[in-house]
Amino acid sequence: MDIEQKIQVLEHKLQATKETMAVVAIIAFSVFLAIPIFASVIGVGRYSEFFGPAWNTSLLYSLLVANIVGYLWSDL
Amino acid sequence: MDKKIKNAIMLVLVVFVIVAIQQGILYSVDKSIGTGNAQVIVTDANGDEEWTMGLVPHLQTMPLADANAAGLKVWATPGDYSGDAVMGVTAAIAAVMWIVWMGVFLGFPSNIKLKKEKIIGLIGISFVILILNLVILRAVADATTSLSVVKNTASHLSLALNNTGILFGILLVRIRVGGRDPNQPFMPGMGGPNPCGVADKNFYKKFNGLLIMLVATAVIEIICQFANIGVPEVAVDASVWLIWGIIFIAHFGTYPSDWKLGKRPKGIALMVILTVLTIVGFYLMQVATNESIGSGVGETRLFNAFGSYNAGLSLMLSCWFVFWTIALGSAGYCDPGECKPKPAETKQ
Repeated sequence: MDIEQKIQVLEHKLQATKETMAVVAIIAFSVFLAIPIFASVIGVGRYSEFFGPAWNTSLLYSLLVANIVGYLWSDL
Repeated sequence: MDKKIKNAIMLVLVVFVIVAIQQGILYSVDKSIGTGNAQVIVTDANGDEEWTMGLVPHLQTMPLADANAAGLKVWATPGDYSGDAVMGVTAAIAAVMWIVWMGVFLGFPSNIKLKKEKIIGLIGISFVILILNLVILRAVADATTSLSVVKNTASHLSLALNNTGILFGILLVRIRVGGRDPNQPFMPGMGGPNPCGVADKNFYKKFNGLLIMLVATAVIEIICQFANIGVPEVAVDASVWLIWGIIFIAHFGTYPSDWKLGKRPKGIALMVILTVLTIVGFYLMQVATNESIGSGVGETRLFNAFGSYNAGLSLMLSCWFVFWTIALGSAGYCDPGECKPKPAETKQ
């Protein structure tokens, strides 16, 4: 393999790493944002009148994170 | 007609058919429970709940009053599966999910490439969505006793399923399952071969644009709340507006100067027109079905629950804006057009 091909392979690997890092960031931030939401469901406990579409809300915040990360990390 | 537009129309029609089938099935499950009844989790002779593998509950339908008197845990009441009271909103989320899966992930209809990785990815992801939602439902079932388990978890089951679907669809695209053309940006405004009208490559400019959009959409949400067209769960209502803000700048460009380029003004106008038409369509469906299928606008059930006839209007607008922005992106209405030579920068 000549040097240009090697550089190309490296570039592809770097790109793949970047995308994987973005996914890791999305999941990490989603978990981080979901902690208080789930704590509010489980912490309130039995005989509570808590009404919250909890899982749905944390998913919406995950989508927000996914779109922000996707936007900021695009074509940089 | 432009081939891209034809393909986009085809995509939207197929998405609408799939959404109609999905929501129809969930709606029929809702109707099969029957008004005044509830699905409860069966208990054995010792009073323990019966679950298959700890994840799938054994369900039984009985009158809600009887279930409360016997102290049984309510799994779902009519409307918890499809969300028939706000069908316009649940259908919008379902439509966004199917356009992400069909259009963005599979490339339907023009450049559909059914590689092995994509098929395995789709099957795997469906499995993960199902298991993950069952796990969350089980956790919430053990933690809460008030209302039904499904309502406490996600308001309506279709919202949870479709939101998980959108999220994992985006993650699959991002990690390039089945390969992705590097010249094809994830969202049309996000760069690619065309050097003009792309999202600004300067990180700080982009970051500033993002923060401005987040503040702007938060202001929209505050206005909606004061105008009594939003649901009281502000977290849900606001997050969809915030998501739309980012999707909008990712498709049409970060700053208003980018929004004027090429076909984009037409795209923005079409986004508004098509959203209004969709809401009118759902309102007509609500009138035709005598409020059996709710649109979220001018609805008595919403007035009884939240004190406002139009409590779903804010969600209807934001959700359908998201859908039509993605659809118009695939129709080529986000193209910045011919690149005009920029005046040479002079150093001072």
